[in-house]
Amino acid sequence: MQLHELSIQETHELLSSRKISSEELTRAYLERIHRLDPQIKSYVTVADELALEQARDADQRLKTDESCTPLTGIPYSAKDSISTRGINTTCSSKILENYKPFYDATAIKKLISTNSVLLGKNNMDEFGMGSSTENSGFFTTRNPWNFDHVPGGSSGGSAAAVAAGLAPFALGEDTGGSVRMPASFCGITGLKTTYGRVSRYGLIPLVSSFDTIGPMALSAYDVALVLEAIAGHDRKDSTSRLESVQNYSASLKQSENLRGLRIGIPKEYFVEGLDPEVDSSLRTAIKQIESLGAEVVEVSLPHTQYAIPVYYLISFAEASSNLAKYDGIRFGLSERNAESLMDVYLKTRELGFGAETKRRIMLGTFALSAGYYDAYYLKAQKVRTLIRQDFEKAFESCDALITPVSPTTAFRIGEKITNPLDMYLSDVFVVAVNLAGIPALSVPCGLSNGLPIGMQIMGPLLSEETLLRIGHMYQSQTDWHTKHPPCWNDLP
Amino acid sequence: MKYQAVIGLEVHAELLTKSKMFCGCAVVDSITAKPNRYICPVCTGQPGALPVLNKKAIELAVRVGLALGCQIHTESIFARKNYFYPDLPKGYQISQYDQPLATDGKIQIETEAGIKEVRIRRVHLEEDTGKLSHADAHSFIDYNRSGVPLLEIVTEPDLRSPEEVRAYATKLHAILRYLDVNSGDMEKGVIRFEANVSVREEGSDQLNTRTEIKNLNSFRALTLGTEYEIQRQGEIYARGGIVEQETLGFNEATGKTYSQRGKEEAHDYRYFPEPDLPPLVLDSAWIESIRASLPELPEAKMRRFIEQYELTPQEARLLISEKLLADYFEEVVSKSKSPAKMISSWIAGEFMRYMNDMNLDMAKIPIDAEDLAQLIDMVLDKTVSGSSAKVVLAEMFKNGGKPAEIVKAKNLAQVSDEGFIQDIITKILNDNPKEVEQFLAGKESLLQWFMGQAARATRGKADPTKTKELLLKAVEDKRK
Amino acid sequence: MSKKQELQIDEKLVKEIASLARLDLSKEETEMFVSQFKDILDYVSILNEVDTENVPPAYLWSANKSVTREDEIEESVPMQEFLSNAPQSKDEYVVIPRIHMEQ
Repeated sequence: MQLHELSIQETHELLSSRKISSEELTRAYLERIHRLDPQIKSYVTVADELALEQARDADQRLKTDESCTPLTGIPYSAKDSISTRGINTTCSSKILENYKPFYDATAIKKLISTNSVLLGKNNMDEFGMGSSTENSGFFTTRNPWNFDHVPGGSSGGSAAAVAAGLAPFALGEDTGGSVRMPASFCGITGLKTTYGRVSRYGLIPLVSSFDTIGPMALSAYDVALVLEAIAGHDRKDSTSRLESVQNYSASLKQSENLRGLRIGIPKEYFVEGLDPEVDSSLRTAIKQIESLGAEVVEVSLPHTQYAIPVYYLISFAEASSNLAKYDGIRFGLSERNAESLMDVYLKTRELGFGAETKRRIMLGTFALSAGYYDAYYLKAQKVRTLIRQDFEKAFESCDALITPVSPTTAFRIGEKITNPLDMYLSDVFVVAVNLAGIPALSVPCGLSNGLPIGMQIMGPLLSEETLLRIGHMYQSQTDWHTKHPPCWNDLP
Repeated sequence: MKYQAVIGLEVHAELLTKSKMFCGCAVVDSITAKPNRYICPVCTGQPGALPVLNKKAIELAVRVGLALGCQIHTESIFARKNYFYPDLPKGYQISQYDQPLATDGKIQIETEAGIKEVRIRRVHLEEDTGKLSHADAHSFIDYNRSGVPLLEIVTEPDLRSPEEVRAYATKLHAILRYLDVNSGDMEKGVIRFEANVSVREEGSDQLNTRTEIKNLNSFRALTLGTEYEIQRQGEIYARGGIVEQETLGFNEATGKTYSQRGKEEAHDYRYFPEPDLPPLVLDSAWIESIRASLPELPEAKMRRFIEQYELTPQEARLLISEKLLADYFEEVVSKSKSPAKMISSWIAGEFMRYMNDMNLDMAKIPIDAEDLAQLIDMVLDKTVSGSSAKVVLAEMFKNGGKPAEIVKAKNLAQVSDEGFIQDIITKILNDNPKEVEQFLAGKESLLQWFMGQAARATRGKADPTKTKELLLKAVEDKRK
Repeated sequence: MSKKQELQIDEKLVKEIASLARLDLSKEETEMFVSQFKDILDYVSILNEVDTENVPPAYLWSANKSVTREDEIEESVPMQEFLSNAPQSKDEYVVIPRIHMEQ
């Protein structure tokens, strides 16, 4: 068995028993990356030297320290919107192409303290704006299952890296489905955390009200191990939750079945437009979960159809404000072949931003502008309250909801990119979750024409333990998460 | 056509906190500190940095709101004010828009026409910007000041003249000093005034176009600037013109306001609630505890001084003009036997003269209250003459020392010995027969001259009262 | 809101917005935005069917309230680290083309 085929737990056992070293492990991943990634293009930056340095530090600790964590010495990659000190953090945008932050995101700091090994930074839709990674300012990542198809977005690079065995786990970021969609399209397990569960300090913001950092890995158990390490209150983030972090992996180890759990199926999510294979995979998965002892009930989320317009209005507005700091003055791209400061602003932003980014900035600026604020932004915020209340009500009669992640499997590269509205509509199942701030797990549950299908498990605020338990139990009975794309076994 | 000025004042005051509004960088004097030393990811707008509210800034803001008679809102929210400017690193300023911290206050000002109430529309918290400087073809940015807590205080347009503007500004300035929330140094820009000025026909209640005058860095500029602008606008209306809504600067040298931009850009700040900061919810009990610990404000102190110390309004006004001065005065009074009025006159006179001439900081008064008290008491009990005491005071300011020691060292003890004085007087009168004749003939002013001679002869030590008494007697004797 | 009824999506509006957002659009981009604005705004107008009378905006709700920190000084970032990212710097300042008029 090859090293990249092991779970985090198995790898941890080998590392702590010193059967392999972190340096060996890291080299193995780096070798795979350099061999396979030119075709997949999941990494923007591969930090070979730094990774090996971190691996050696980890090995020191593994040798001498009793207090090793499950993630000590384990390599990982991070979406390129997460600040890593001294390493390019580009958000896949030309405007930050050579930007090196002088500080680490809190989530990264936590993984430094566990002595995990950062392999590099993953490609994404520019600033997180997109659902396919086609909006990257550099290149489009390929879906490892079929290189002509998108990996999903915006954490497409992170998902592809994990799916292709180029990282045991990755940190992704979910604002409007950006962890769940690519996880679903690439056949891996990805968690959108409760808003505030993981610190946003150092996460380059797209939509401050919705952004979350979440783990992506090959199983719910692996995701749980990462979540334990990165979650927790951060005094530098005023929106970070104060509640203590549970020992998720221990809870998963102890679970035997899903008896006593009520699963809600929102009727608004199983409608026309859903690919018949996606539909049938979901229904089979739900039956599987039922057989584990859960009770299934039908619920309703009546304002579902408004989720997309609400999401886009708020997200455009906040994004337009968050992107104002890219002005060519203190960091990043700066077009100084300019006659005035105004010129610097205009030329820098014109050259640095891609089409989708510009579009969203324009629409967001408009939605907030005088005279339109009430009709657009404020209205959207009010409907958002109704959507949140829909979930609260639904969770009175169930512990979790199950829905598809996407109406289809991964579409072809170039298929949706010409019409932005088409792209927005593919987010129909994922955005409501971000509006309510609740967590949701995407778990592989089928294959259609060689492309993965994902199941979404949503829960109330801070219910990560429940979601991971459902995912874990489901994975103990099924083997979708053990299926891998053709490039998985690509030998030299 | 008689025109009436309609003026509102906006004041931005930097708060005296140790650290910035949203991060732990130190608040420093941005004029003297080396550039870009007190910065971090938050106050330089690095991608991914997040703000965290400074508790002390909130406390100081509540203090001000209460002192201005405002309603403190137990729930308030922060908002982003979006615009591009190089001293604004995030491309937005975190401020408050809907639901500010405090609204609907009022203060009273003294005008020639009497007491007038000025309504305070709102008091809210925000962050300061960085500092720009310019040379040749470039501008330079220093972010030390970026993120410093700022309090914005806005009045209703209740002010009607430059005098009222000045009265409000000086009163507010004194209150902020009293509350110890701001250092008051206008020249350093820690407190900034902006006037919104419009003009209308007397008797009308409509509001005409207003202009905004920025960067009025002194009370003088504030008064002159508004005065000029009122006149300028009046003249425009008088000849049937239109006043443009614009931002103006004031040139103190020419005494004129000038337009600050070529093409006025539409200010659409696109305010929306700051998603990185949860709503601020204040505990009523906490607000009440701040209210209970408010220091005595200038107005109340003045009334008390007049009553308690039997001072005139003028005397009281001078002492309360600076809280530290008022405190010092009371400390001297508490340590002295002399009447408060006498102490007041010493402080207002000689003491303040040296403080001003030597450019001393009220926060660092070089003379202990106890020592000044002792000196004044020595005058009271005639141990030294008034003029000798002035010499002692000068010495205390210049080189320190205790009054009793200085008197001894300089041999300034007053002489009241009649015999001694009598001898001196006799000599003076004998030496100056012509003057004696002139005095007896009616030239009263020569008395001062004789006193001067006696003072010189005794090196200021002779008790002047006694001297005068004996002199007059001696001269009268000569008449016989 | 009467302004909503008057909403004219045209090049003039797009140019005003572009100016506020400091984006220098080409003629093609401007034209494209006009039609995309129309489509997208048309689409989001579906929200008008929702009755939101007495519904508070979502931003007033937060799991946290009144998150504050003590007024204590923390270490600042070394100036060199900060300046090394600046496109142009000199003598410890960040440098830009001269601004001629104050705001």
